[in-house]
Formats: sequence, C-alpha cells, structure tokens
Amino acid sequence: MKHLLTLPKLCVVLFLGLISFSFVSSISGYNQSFVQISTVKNGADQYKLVYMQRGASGKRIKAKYFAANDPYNNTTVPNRYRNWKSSGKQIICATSGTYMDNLTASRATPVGLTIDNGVVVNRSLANFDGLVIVYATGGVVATNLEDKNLTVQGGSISGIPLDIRGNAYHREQFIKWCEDNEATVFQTHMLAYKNQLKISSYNSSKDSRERRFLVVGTDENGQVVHCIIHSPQYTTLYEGSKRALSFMNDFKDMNVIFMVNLDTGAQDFFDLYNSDGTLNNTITGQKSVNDTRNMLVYYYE
Amino acid sequence: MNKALKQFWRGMSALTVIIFCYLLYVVVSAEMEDFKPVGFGQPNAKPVAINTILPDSVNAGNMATAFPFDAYVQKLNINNYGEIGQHLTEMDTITNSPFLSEYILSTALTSKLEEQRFTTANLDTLNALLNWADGYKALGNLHPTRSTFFNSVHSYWYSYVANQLHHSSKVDVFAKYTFRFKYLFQRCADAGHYPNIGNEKYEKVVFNVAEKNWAYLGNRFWNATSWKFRTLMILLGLQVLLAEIFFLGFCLKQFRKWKSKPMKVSEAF
Repeated sequence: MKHLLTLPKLCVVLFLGLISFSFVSSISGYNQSFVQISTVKNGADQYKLVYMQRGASGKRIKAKYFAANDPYNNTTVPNRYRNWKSSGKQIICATSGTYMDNLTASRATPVGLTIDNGVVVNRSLANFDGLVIVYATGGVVATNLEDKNLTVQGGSISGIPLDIRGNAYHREQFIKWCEDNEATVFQTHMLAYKNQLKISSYNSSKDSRERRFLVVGTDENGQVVHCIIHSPQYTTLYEGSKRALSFMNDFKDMNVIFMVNLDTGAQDFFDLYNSDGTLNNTITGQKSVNDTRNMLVYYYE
Repeated sequence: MNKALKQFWRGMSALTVIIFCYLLYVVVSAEMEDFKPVGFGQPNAKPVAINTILPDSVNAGNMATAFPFDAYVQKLNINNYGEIGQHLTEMDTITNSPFLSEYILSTALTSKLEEQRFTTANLDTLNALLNWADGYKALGNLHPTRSTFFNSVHSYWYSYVANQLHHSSKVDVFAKYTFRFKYLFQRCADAGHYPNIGNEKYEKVVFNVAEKNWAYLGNRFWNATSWKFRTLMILLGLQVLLAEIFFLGFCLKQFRKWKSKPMKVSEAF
C-alpha cells in the first residue's frame, strides 16, 4: 500500500500549517502581561478595572476613536467599528465615549467639539473642560481648557498656547489644524487633572448612576498607563470621581495625569475581550453597539 | 342606579369634550409667529478709522494687549462689513502682521462684542445674530486668505447661539417645542454647531417605554431614585390597580344585572 502522504505533499502540508498557525497566533489576541482585568474592593466601593500598560508594552497598546460616519460611503459608527475590528484587530475593549444629544443614536451627535480623523462632526464648543486628543499613533492626551494653554505640534500654530474657549481665532485655527492633520478630538467632563479633582458637588449633576472613567497617568515606575475604571455602584458624578481618584492615587499608586468621564447613559456600551480574543463579562454595558454614536476603542498592535 | 350611570357617562363625555377643546386651543395657539426684526448699531453712522481710536502709547509691539477693545466695539458699526474689511487693511499696515491684525479684530468682534452688547439675548436677537454671522461666512468664501478670520467670527456666533439655546432649554423645558426655537436649532445644526438640548427625565422614561427597555427602566427606577420616590410610585401603582379592580367589579355587577333583567318582547327580535 502506498503512503498517502509523500514527502513533497508532507512539505506542502507542513508549510500551510505553519502559515495558518502564524496567522491565527497573530490575530488571536493581545499580550496579557500588559493588560490586567480585575475586580477590586476598596472598603465599601467596588471597582472593575481594565489596566493597560501602554508604556511598558512599547506603545503597542493603542487607542482609536470613532465619531463620524464614513465621509465617502456614509457607513455608520457601529459598522465602521465592526469593519475595522474584522480586519484582524486585537481589541482589548471598546466603550461609549462622550455624551450624545439625542436618545436615538442614529439621529444623535456627540456633544461638544468633535472631530474624527479630520472630519468635523460638531463645531460647537460645550462647557466641559476636558478636550481629549486621540493621536493616529494610538496615544491619548487631554487638556484642561480652563488652563488656556492647549498646544499642538506642526503647522503655523505649533507650540503656541491656545485658548480655544475664550478666543474664537484660536479655536478656528485649532479646528483648521485638526482638519489639516487629520486629528481626532472630543470633549467631555474633565474630572481630575494632575492629581487634582476638577469638579465640585455644586457644579455637577446630582443624578446617581453607575460610573465609568478613563484615567491616564504613570505607574510607580514612571511608565504610561491607561485605565478604564468602572464603578457599578450608583453615585453622583462628584462622589464617583472623588472616590475613583483617591483609589487610583492610593490603591494603585498611580500618578493621575487626567481623568475624564465616559458616557454610561443612553449609549452605555462596553465590550471587553480576553487575551485569547474571547469576550470577558467583567464589565458590560446596558446597550448594544448599535445604540452608540461615538466610541473609544483600545487595541493591541 | 340607571340614572346615576347615565349621569356618570354624561359627566365623562363633558369632561372629554373639555379636554379635547383645551388640547385644540393649545395646538391652535402654538407659537407660530415670525421673528421680529432686530437692528444692530447705527445704520447711517460714519465709518471709524482705526488710527482715530488708537492711543499714542499703542504700537505694533504692544498691540495685542493695549488695543482699546471697548472704545472700538462702542464706535464700530457692525452692520458695515466693508468697514471691518477696511479696518483689517489698516491694522495690517500698523502691525505688519496679518496674523496679529486678524487675532485682534476677531477678539473684538466676538468675545468683546458679546461682553458689551450680548450678555443676554432673546430668540429674535439670536436669529438676527445668525443672519449677521452668515455675512462673515460669505466673506470667508470670497477671501480665502482671510478665511480663518471670517470663519472665526461666523463660528463664534453660531456657537454662542447654540449655547444660548442650550441654556434656554434648561430654564424652560418646553421652550424647545416652539417653532422659533426649532428653527434656530436647525440653522445651527445645518452649520455644524449642534446645540446640546438633551432630554428631560420624563422624555427618557417615555423613550424607554416606547422602546420597551423594561429591564433598563426597572434598573434605573430601583437604583437611581430615592426611597421616597419609590414608595410614592409603588403606592400610586397600588392605587391605580385597586381602582381598576373596583371598576371591573362594578362593570361585572352591572352586566349581571342587565343579563338577569327579563327581556321585553320587542327587544327579543
């Protein structure tokens, strides 16, 4: 009886197997040594954390923001996310971003100045102090508009401190810079900046609800860390931020550069993945991806 | 008992007619009026030359901080776009920097003008402001080299109107349903400045009921409301339930009575 696999055939099978293995391993997930998903109790408070060590990972943990329909074929934000995800991206988590102005996502617009990859979605500057810039490199920075010192690199306004809230000319130049540089920007509540709480109980919403924040800072080794902190307990924005900041400072030994709010209202969407690409239910949103108008995604590349 | 029942139905019919008439009145008397014209400044005022308002101490070096914004805004005829264009040219010759000239005049025509003339504004004024700001958009299209300046003024006032609409919707929750408010909202939205009108709590409840988000509603009711509100709502629910049971019992009783009544010959076919 002849052997079914002759030597050349065996080589071909091995070669194909090797290629499929490398392909599968490349899309199977992220490096779990740089991402910790945990549930932590701090006294009476419970926190669910996605702790991403962007610095230690060699900046392989990246952020991407979706807010505008595709300008060429009008693909909606949820579909843009699905298409992007299906192109082999190793997603860590995806969350609804800033607030939207209508309960129906398809008719809503993100609140405040919003620019997606150079496409201006909303030109109106809201009263929130937090302006978040998501770079094409996957980095995220936030500026406190109250400080009137927003600076950008490149172009005619490079390095000039801009007061985009108080000065219309600065604002227009900044928007033009974003269009020219295909920048991505959104506005939300700045809750803490440089370890200082920025909201008070007097000027913030008294409504109680679960809270979700994006915290960016450095760990005890000085490495950049991005963290999504989810508090399932119902608290006011002020109480929730105060406790979360204290938790990040004292319990996680984190030097908080900024902490901004993420929407848990009508577009409370959250998808979390394990390192092998399977869904993780530690944090779940109450709404589906179709109910969201803008989202912040963390992935590993 | 029959008489009492007839009286009850008459009363109910009268109440229905009254409610219907009231709703009709509300719909018919809804604000459909047009905007009243609002004029800015002095239409026949003589153009002001920049040199005449600049103190001797002001020069190109300290122009950004020493420019007399208050005096300038006071004397400026904002309806005269040509005058503003002239001022830009004059400023360029003084500062030798189009960037600085545009920065100063943009500041004057936006935040300084707002401080002096538009700390508050009603819907008529907001509409007039948008009309006026549209002129700057057109000028920006005509003069690409000055587009940042003209667009900054246009954008500022649209953003101002969007924020004013946000504030008035917070002060009066029904304001956003009026014709004039919706018109201004749409104008801002068309220009890419989306006013943050948001939704009131009752609107959120209605929306979630319509979408049948019962689990979400239940969760919000139980976790996000005070115990007083929850107790009140549960008591009200029980009251409605009891009233319904009583009403059904009453109807059943009346039906049984009617069934047990002997039929007249004329009624039986």
